[in-house]
Amino acid sequence: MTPVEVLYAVLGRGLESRLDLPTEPLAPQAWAELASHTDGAHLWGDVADAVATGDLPATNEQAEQASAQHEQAMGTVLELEILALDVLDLLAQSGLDARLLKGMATAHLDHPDPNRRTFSDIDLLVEPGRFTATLDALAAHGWRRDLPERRPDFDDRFGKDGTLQRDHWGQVDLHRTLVMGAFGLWIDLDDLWSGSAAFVLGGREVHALDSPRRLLHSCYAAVLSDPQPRLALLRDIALLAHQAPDRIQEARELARGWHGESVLAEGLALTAQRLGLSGVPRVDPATLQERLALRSYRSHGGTNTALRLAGVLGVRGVTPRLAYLYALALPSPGYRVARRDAGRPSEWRRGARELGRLARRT
Amino acid sequence: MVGGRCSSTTAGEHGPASVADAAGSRLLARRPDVVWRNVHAGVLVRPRGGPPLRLSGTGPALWALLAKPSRLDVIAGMLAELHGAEASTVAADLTPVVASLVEREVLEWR
Repeated sequence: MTPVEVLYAVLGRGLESRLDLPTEPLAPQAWAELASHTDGAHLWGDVADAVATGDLPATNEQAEQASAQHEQAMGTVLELEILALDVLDLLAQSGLDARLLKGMATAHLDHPDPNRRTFSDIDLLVEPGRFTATLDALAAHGWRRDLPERRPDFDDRFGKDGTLQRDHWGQVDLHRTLVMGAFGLWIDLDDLWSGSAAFVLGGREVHALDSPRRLLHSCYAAVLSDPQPRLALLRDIALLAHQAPDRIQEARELARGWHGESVLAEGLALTAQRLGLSGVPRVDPATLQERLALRSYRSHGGTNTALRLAGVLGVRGVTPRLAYLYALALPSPGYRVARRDAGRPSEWRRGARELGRLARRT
Repeated sequence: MVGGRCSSTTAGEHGPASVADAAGSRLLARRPDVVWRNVHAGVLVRPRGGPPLRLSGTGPALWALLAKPSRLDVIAGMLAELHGAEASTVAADLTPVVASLVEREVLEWR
């Protein structure tokens, strides 16, 4: 049993997983590997809990390391929650609202104990059509974007998110939609916003996406955001799908309108495969358009450039498509200068390299 | 009771007498704007306006009992039963700690 397989088994606890946990503490080298994976994947909540309950046998030293790492992770989580509350209060002063996304929401709404879900950043979904207004409201309080808008109106029409920073306060990712590329642009933003779930955080009522939308978001992020799926997201998917199987059908109906059924199916299948779960629902095969879009993501052999170009599939109408492509090809001078000043590579050079590699591979 | 990520608490200007005065029939409660998590070594609390603290020793039990606002003497009685100690001794030990946690905006009187 490899350390990664042990991690999968830890994540499958309580979910009728076929994976077995070891019966003896891991050898030092294997534990070190497990710790490294756990660290990188922000999973000390689950590992520390498995150790504390005895599900994962550990030496005293290993148990102490798990507790210390968990406490450190929880310290970070609390700081992020306070920061998120501060940001929500600032937005409320301007009559704006936002939904908490990902770990900060699933920790409180889906995990058996919020102590088990760690996260390392703040992701907020802004109200449809108010992305720029939200950025402006936070800018008035000293929050600054890492990069300016690509071209005027690009964010409100085609953007995925913006990263804001404020001195030593930290960083917040404001999302207009859930992912980059065609799948993000296919999402009906009013539809996405319309289903919410409330919970109390720090004495304040906050809102997240409702459970079918949280399930879809976890699948989109796991399948499309990174070359390899983040394990914390697979655990979220498993919990969301396991707790209420009807939710899968609700998510599927939503996904159908967003061309996202294949993403939902892949997220569920990946989760079942990695965490040793059964009962993967069948979903109709993806359309040609969806298959093309999927192949543009790095998780499916694509590149950043292919992803941006394939985003045109998600834009409706000839004029908007031209505006989208024009903005990709010719960003505003301010955007180019900011990228250069931030030490980021030229998009043209990188794009040409990536497309060249893709063409050779094809 | 309070340590780890901060220095130990002291009663400071809210000494035992002032807390006892403040208590009376009032209820002691967790401040709602505090965010917190259970950890192996206790409870991590993060008040909205102050640094994080780790409640250890009998701190986690105090925190758990305050899931519902209670009078200080009731809390002291329950902790005394839990630890097999005299309620008056526990109350005396608890008073400066409660004062410190109120001062640090973790707990409040209602």
